[in-house]
Amino acid sequence: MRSTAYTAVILFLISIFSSSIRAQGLIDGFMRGQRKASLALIGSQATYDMYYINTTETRNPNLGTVTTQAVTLVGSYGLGYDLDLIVAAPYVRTEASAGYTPKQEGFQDLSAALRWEAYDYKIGKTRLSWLFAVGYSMPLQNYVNDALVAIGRGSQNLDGRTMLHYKAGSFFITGQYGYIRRGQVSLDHVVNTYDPSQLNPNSGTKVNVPDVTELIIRTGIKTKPFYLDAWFQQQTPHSEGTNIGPGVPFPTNAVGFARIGATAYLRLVGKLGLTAGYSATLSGRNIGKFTRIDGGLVVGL
Amino acid sequence: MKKYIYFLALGSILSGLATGVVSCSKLIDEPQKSAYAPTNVDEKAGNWKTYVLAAPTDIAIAEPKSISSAEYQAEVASLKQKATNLTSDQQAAVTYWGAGAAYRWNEIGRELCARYNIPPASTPDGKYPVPDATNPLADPKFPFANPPYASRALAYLSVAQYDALVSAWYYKYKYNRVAPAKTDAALKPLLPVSTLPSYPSEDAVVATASVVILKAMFPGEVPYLEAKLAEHRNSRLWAGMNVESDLAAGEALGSAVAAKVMTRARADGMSAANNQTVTAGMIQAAKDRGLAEVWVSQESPARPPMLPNYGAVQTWNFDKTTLIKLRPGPPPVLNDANYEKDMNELRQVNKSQTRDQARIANYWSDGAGSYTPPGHWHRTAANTAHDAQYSEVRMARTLALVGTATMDAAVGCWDAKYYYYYPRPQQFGMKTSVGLPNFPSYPSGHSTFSAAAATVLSAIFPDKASEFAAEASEASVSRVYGLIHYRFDSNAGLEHGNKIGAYAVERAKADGSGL
Repeated sequence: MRSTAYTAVILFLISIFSSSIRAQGLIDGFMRGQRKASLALIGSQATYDMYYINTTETRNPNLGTVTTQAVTLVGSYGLGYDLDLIVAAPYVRTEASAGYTPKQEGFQDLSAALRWEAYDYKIGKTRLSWLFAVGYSMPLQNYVNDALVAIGRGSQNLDGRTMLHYKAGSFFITGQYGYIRRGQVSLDHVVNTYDPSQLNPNSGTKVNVPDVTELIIRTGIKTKPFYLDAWFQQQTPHSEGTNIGPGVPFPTNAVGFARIGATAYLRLVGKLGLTAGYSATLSGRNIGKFTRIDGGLVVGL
Repeated sequence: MKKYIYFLALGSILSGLATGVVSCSKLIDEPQKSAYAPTNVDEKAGNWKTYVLAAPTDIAIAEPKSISSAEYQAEVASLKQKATNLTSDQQAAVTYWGAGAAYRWNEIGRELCARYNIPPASTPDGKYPVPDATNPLADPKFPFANPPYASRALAYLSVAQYDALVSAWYYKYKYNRVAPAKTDAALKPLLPVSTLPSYPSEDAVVATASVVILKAMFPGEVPYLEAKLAEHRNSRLWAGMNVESDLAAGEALGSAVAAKVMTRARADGMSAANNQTVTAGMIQAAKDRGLAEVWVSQESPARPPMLPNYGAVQTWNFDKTTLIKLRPGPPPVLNDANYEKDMNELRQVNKSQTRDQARIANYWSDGAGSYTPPGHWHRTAANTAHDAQYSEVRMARTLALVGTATMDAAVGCWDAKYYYYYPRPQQFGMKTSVGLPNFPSYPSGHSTFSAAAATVLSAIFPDKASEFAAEASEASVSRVYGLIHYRFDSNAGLEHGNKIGAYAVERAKADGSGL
């Protein structure tokens, strides 16, 4: 079931581009298979010309359209028949079409995740599995994190989630729920306003990044040479956070969104396949109203 | 189906991890400023030179009841009662205010500057509404606490604190009423007690003087300020540091001195600082002197320039004639060799700004939503004076010297900026990572503020002179790294600021404090 591996990779990598573009989730419900590996190289472009200040849509003539492009390398390996390791590293460039904000470019966050299929249950000819995953990500370099146009928010993140995956023939549906714990980040400057829920009155440079919960529902069909899905993803700030405003550190903002999207995979020849995806933002909080396309190559090793 | 035990083991590891991740604390724990007994109580400060008061006796304070009087004994008895069984909130208030009255009110002043440093947003018809002092909480909020506004608010705050404390010191040593803890051994104060006489209370003097100034500067914050004032007052009782009559006399003195300081503030020309009609004449004059391209707002829609007439506001440490005499010489002619040299430096940074250049630019940006460079230097001054364990009056003196010097720097710099009306590098294709200031380029405000403050602080704390000079220099070059100033802007600002700061130092040397 090589295509299973590929699609898992595709779904995973879409999740990791940017904390501000974090797309549809850490992983899917399909296991890789013992000692099976794959590698994918994906290019993506996400744009917005409106962003949400708290939940209010805003257009900024001094920003124009913000375009974020990324190239991401994703590797996955089946450590056991029920345990997978997935690693990804993106290179990101983001810039605004108007105003004077400079372009930002560089390696963003390295992510790694372990996925464990804890329970696998056969119901007639269908199959239900229960999975757990833990993930960790950290910035690959000390990029600028406190700017509207930035490649990331600079936090180290711990991600824990559980999912139910149901498969009947080529049809599948997966529901997952997770919690993303975001670590504190240091700004380049001393924070000037005291926020009792975030900061100390002797303001320093360290601030909290609000944690989020995440819900993802994904459904589609999967055959050997072909995969197609549609998904819904919702991230909700769990801890108290700020809203975009003058002098408010961007990392302390409460960020959330609801997005829908679709992903396709097609095997070309042998172990080589193509993938493509699209997503759009339904609602958001302190984040750009992104639309996003991506495409790439997947190789089984 | 898997082996049950395997499932259980891995499951418990995962759930343990998950619980740990969700529940462990994200508290940011930074050291709190704590109370100290000053290394020197500055007994002679009642004779130090004041800014607005003609003499420390301008406001009369009646002689207190003797410590043997029944009235005083009753006050101490009441104090003993108030200072027992404190709640944790009351103890926290004692600790917070124990760090120092002028220290905390300066911090509050900065906090307000930061919260009000919000440029008004444009309306759908492309206009920028002007904040309205009579309706301070409407959008846009009044004031827009930009750098000149913040420099002035903090200058008046520290001058009022200082003048009121000089007068308080005069009466303290005139009446010599000792601290309550020294009259009754059963009273156990929660803060260090020095030899300083306690009538009138220096905390009450600073608190009431500060609140009068801050209410005028931030009229939308009256309830917040009243609450802080009440907490500060109560903290002195909870700590067993002042009896009621110490506080009442301090309140009378602080509010009367601050009222005199506000009389100066109302007539200092600030009300005309945003007079936009003066710009046409300024632009014409700059063109007549040969400037080929004047500054224009690069915001969309174009925003009227920030406080074009602020250069006419009254200064503290020198007069109008001196202000003009100190004005930096002209910047390079656009596109001449000197201009090209510094523009090439910007082009290079624009192409490949290093992470360290970005860090320096961000560290000193002190832009919208911050308490601005004057606030940044007040923070440095307050922390340094706190580390030196200065008395309240010497702390206030330090802040007043820095405050008046940075306000003079603001006035001098704004005068020069609008005199030269020189275009920003953004008019010639540069980006900026620090936000684009909406006023002419030459000379650099950050450089002027920083050099003025560093000059003053270096005179007060000569051991740290090289640190302050390095900070001023980094603040200055941060604007080059941030691409909003040519190096000649920064250099001219540094030189200008040093000269302005020297006037405050001259005053400091002659104020009777023994600097």
